Amino acid sequence: MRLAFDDVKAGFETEADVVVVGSGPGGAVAAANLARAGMKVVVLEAGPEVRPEDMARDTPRFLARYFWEGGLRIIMGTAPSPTMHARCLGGGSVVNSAIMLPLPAWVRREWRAESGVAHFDGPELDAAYARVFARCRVAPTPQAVWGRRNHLVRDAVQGVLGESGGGLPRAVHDCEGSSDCLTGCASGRKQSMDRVYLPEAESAGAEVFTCCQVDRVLTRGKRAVGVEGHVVQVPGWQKHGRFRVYAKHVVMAAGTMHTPVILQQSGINPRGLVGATLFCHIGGGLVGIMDEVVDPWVGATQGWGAISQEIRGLKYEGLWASPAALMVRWGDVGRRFVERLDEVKRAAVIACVYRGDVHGTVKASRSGDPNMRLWIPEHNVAPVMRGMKRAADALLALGARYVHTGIVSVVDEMRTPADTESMLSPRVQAKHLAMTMNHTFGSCRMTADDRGPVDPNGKLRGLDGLYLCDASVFPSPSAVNPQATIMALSDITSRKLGGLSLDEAPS
Amino acid sequence: MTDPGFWMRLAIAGITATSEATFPENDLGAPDFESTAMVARTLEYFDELPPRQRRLLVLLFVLTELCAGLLSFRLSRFSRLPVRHRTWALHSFRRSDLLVLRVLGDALKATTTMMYMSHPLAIEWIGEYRVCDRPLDPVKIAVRPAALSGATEAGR
Repeated sequence: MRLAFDDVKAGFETEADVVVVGSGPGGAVAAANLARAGMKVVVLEAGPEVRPEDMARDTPRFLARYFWEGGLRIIMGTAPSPTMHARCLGGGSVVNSAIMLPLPAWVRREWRAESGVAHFDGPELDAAYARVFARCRVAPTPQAVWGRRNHLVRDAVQGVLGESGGGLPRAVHDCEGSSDCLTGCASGRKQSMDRVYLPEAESAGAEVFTCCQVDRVLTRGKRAVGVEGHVVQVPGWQKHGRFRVYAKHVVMAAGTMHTPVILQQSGINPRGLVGATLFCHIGGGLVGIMDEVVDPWVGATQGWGAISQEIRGLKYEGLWASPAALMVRWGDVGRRFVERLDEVKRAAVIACVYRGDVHGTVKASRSGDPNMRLWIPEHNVAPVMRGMKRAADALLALGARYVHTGIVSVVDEMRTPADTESMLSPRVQAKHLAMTMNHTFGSCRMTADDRGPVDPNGKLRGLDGLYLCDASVFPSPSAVNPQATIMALSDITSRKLGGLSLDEAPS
Repeated sequence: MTDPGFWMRLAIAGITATSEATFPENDLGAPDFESTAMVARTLEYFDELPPRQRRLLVLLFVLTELCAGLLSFRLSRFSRLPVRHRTWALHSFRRSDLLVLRVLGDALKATTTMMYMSHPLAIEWIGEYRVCDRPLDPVKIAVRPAALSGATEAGR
């Protein structure tokens, strides 16, 4: 059963075995498993459902309606950068490119070594990946829907640089190559949580409430006993009735930013570790203006990618989004911007994503929004800029007229390898990086000892009945897109909680 | 039409001044800040935002109107400066070594660019189209279903 704003606006009170806070990749998997285990499950999602008719290509309006803080959220720190967090049924899976990459083997080993959690590098995680990949019909992006843009990225990264890559594995079935991933897949090809795991949970009896923003976890003694919050209307964001859900177990899956904020607002912060850490991928984007007409709006948004063998922790990928989102950092202002408009159809974009060792914190602000700070060590700049220079040189070798990065301290229109050398200048500092920090993790780390607030079973230390099933439990950055790992770890935690087998074969 | 009030009038002046400097009237034929109805659409966008973000953006444009002139070495409101100077000021803010100015410049560029590039005239001007239709989408973009099969190895 799925309830919308009109069903709940007056507020409500209900009971369940489990209340799941958040309906994104972590929450949806947990809800489906727990409902299948015979528990009475209530899912609370702060945002509304995005129906196909809501998936408008009016980017600002879409961001305002379906993203936290209207899509204007900024992570402060060394290089203040936008960060996009979906606020809708299905969470990030509705508005991302659906990339499903498992953790590289070396990251799994590192996670296990630094956290002491055995399943990070064990067969349980392999089995969980297999289950979620099968359920989401994950397959490499077929070449037929790459479009010219992804072919150019492959020619540059693989053909020129020699980095081996391929069609990115995505949770998409029968992709049309519409380039509309980031405003939702109106044709329903993307296997987002609102189309896969949540219907499964509902058919097993789960109740899914939308427009219900959780403010705090209710506790009694050393036990979580439910959550409370308020109903929010979109658009307009007015607060309406209040709600309370009492449950034997609380599963927090509100994401890296909101899970720690809700816990902090509830006075739950064992040893001050909740929100005391935060990690993020850094990097940047390159726009190559080619001689040929690329028509970059044709083809899968992120259809081709390669994990660099040359620079450990760096990933190259083709990228597209609506020009209204992409061009906020691209080009100049005034006549120089207007002159460049004619070149958009010739653009090929390569994103360079780097694991790095960025660190930060998340704290609840007085408004209830997360206040995030991230510090980028200067030694992380060199590998990012080296990767970007290599990609820029590759685009120039393919015949690009020029390459643009949006980074203020490098040559604006790089036309020769001598221009791209400016990216390696010591003048380029961490504060100059121009990026969107969408991959955030590790605000409530899972560790075998008490260095992190979450134990290997996903339970918050010091409080019974409270489990975490989102990217906040990552012990450090994943080096790849986090969705597959969020789902796999949530699968493990929720199976343990629900008493389901960790060996179950994919269906 | 009702009076928007003192602060909102300042914000509107800031939006107009920034939009004109970012997307000026031009001889290239590209849509400008007026043909893309920047002011009206930006105000509609504000109404969609959560209250706190709406207040922040109004404040951003109020501060721009009141202070951007001073920050670009002119003792004048931003909207009263020549377009060329305003464009130079926005360009300089974005390239400044001072974090505050860089954030101001980037925020102004981001907000106005997002609004401009989502207008149908701007979409049409850059030649954007799609390979499949969204019949329920109020934003109409040209559709060329065969484009994907033509966009392969050798280019188009």
